[in-house]
Amino acid sequence: MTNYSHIEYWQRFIQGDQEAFRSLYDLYVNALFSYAIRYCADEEIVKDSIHDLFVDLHRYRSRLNLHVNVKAYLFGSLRRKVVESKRKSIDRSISAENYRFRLGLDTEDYITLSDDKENEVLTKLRAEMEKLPYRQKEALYLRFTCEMSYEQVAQIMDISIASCRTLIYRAIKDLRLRMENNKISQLLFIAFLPVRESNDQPITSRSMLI
Amino acid sequence: MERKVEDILSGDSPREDLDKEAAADVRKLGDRILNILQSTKSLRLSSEAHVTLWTRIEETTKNARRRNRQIKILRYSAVACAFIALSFFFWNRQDPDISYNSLLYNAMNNQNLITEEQEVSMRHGDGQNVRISDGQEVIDLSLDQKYENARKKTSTFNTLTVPYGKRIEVILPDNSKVWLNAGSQLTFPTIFDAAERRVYLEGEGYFDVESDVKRPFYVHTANLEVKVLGTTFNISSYKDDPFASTVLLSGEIELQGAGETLFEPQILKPGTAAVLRKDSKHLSISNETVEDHISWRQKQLILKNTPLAEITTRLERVYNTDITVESTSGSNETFSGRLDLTQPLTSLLTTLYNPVEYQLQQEERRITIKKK
Repeated sequence: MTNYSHIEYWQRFIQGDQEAFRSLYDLYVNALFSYAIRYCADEEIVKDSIHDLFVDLHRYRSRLNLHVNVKAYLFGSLRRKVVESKRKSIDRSISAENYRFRLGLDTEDYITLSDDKENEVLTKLRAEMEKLPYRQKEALYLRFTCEMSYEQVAQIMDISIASCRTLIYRAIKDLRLRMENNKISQLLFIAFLPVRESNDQPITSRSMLI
Repeated sequence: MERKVEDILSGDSPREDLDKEAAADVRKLGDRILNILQSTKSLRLSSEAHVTLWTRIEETTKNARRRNRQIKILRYSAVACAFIALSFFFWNRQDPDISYNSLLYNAMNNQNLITEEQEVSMRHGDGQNVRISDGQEVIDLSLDQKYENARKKTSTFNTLTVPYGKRIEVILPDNSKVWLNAGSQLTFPTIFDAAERRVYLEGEGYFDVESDVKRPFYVHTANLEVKVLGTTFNISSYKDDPFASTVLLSGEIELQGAGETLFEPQILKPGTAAVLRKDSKHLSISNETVEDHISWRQKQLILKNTPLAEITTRLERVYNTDITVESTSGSNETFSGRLDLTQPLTSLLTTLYNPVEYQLQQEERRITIKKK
């Protein structure tokens, strides 16, 4: 895995290599930013937290462990920093809009397919996903969007691997049930509108191919 | 039995298993879920922001290095002076700033999220997290010290987390006792320095410090710093409280501001309480409310013209329950008296909110109070 070279950067950084420190920043800053901005709407807080994270790494590097999972370590440390400064900002100003974890962001637009029916399903699914508890969403994001192992997700969220698996399991099960309920109501709707049903036929078969 | 989509996606190789063994409709939903999550775009910093942020990091680390070098030079000259003066004063002294900074760093970094914790737990310096079983009321670390000391000289930091609804007593390596109230965290070294003892507290603790004139004991919090030689006192510094306070029961303590709070160091006398309002940074010292501050140890809450909002915040912590009041009319009301914290929460709330006027709704760890 690519992680091998990442751990090399990490170890060279701990031994005092300034270039390796820069490489770690370049390698991870976007992933860290993408993750933390889902935690906290305030971009400045996120940037400050990343700043503090790297400054601390540098300051205390002699105490750092040479053998860590770099990605999980950085994500986990940043998570704590963001939560910390979010709390502080709540103390100071009520205005800072804070969300605990969001999968979709307002600034992102989704790839839309030519297939309207499929788009509708995906939009519905996205909306249902966003309604999940925030820890479930975070687990989904780390596991599938960031393609991390259960071990890594557990380390970041500071929970056991078993509870991690449970979070994912519950999230998916919940999604399935919500979508099934949704489908039943849709079928009823279609049954009362036989004209639309024939129109929908070719589209449905096309969506099967995707 | 057919595997459902949640069985497959929570497995170790969801993609492969979906393709291999899922029924058509299961695969379809599974694919959709995976596609949405995997096509969630990774947000990138603009190249400008990327460079700006790096420059900031580089500047800060460079400044820190320069400062370190200056400190080193100063320290060397101090040592030289000490030699010349044949004084041993500077000789074995640890730089207090450095030990304080590493304590603070560890306190910030070792923190678990109190709200996510269910059990009392201790995070060790090496990242290991130990959960303390439910029935245990005392954690005794004074015994560890003896063989720990002999085995290794390097000290790391432990952070003890007490979630809402729990409390615990801990005996520190120097035999000092601390009772930690619900929703608190205490960070302390596995071995105290020869010259001083420093701990960092977030939340509330009742300290019974082992007397050691040669090793002052410091309690650091976000707004206050307490220096003691050997006394009994209570200190409360919750993030979500508008105040921080210290109450001295015996001995003598020196109180200082920390962080953004600055005031002249104050010496507290036994039986007095110092309360800092966080917004005005105003410190008031009185000897009236001592008992109220420490009543939590007797599982009581003493109220003296205490605003209703403050009472509910305290009850939320003790009972680990969200209390939502959907009415603003009574929030300025104050109460005096004694609440028995061994009683169920709902019965306490009915004393505060007259059931004739208010309606209580409980749903797991959430209570909503509505005006009828």
